Amino acid sequence: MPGRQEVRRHHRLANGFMATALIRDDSDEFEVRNALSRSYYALFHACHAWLAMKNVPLSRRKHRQPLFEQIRSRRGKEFGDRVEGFWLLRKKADYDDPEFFQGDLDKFRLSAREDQGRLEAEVESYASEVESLLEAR
Amino acid sequence: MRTAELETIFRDKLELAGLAAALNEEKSQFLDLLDGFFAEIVLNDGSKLAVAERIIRSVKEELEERDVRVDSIVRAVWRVKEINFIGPARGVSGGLKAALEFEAVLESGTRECRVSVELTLAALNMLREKLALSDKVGFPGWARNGDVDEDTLRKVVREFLDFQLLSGGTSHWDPIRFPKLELKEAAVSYLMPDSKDFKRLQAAIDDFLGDYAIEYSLRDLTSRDIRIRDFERVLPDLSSHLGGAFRPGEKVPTNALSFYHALGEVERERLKRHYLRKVGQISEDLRQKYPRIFLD
Repeated sequence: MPGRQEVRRHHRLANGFMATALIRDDSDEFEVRNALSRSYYALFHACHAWLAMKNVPLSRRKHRQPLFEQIRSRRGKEFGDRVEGFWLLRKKADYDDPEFFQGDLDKFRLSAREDQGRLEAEVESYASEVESLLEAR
Repeated sequence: MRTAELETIFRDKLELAGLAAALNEEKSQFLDLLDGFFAEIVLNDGSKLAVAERIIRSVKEELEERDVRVDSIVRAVWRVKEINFIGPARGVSGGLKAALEFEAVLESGTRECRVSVELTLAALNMLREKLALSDKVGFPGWARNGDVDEDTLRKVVREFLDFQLLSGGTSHWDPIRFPKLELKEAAVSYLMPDSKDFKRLQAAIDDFLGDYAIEYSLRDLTSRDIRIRDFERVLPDLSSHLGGAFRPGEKVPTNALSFYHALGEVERERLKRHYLRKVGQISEDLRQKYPRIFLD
């Protein structure tokens, strides 16, 4: 069974990635891409922390699809669908999708900030439960 | 068996019982979790729960005979209809508890249910902190005047319940089986988060007056003859403690004064209070070593 240490480790990574994934007014294309990618990994670790808190063994969430399915079964379809949607966004940020960045940096920063805001709220929804557990113990 | 086949079996049975229209398509799901199937049946009408539960139970029994294992949940979508403030919460024996009690009416289709929410004194104190009602923090009860107002409390309780009702899957909240909830500090932190700038400045204060930097901070204030309780004059000194993820030349505000002025009035006041509280905790040894800055 996953222990408190694993919960803490993932929670720490989630917070660290989210806090440092900044999109500034003068961020270039690659800083924006990195920020989105890191923000997804903040959510990835927040999900692992939350599932570890629910005693879901690593073997059942080690790979991407089982992780999404565990979130769906334990937190509901909409939560699982959103994590999967953010994973698709991360893929676009990391790979060469011509639709994703079309040259207008201001527009790119703006839409990336909106995505990041949604990601941050999602991370927070997991982190708040994890934090109350860590504080209670 | 495949998930699609399982889904068809469940759907057909629900349709036969006339429950197809009550099924929430967006939230219902059928999954293959490798060690077995998982079915979550979500209804838009709580009055149909008992019928749906009976059907799902019988389908599961049929499937078990075919060695197919299915974990399942049958639940309804609830929404908060109204929140009423009851008064101080009471224990089973009738004694007062350190909490305020609210009653909420939830509805799902034609069904209603009542739940009780106890907002703990610690959560109330956190609300007071967040709303800059510092003189009320620690007050053992709740006052109708000069305290967090009833509308705000009801709003917080409503948001708390909305949040509880968001989750599905095995961690969903069933208000019929668990009609009592406690609203604690952690929930207030989530429902009313501090702004990023507030958190940055708070961390800078903790650093400025923390073990590592305090001696330097006090010496520096002494050399410039700045009173430590004069928060506005000390503020610019926090800039070098903002640290973290900022780099030289970036366009976002990096000096403490800009961050501070970007805060709302309530957070500005809370921050000042946090600073003065930290100043109040400085050891007697340091106060005697740098006496001039502690004068009023």
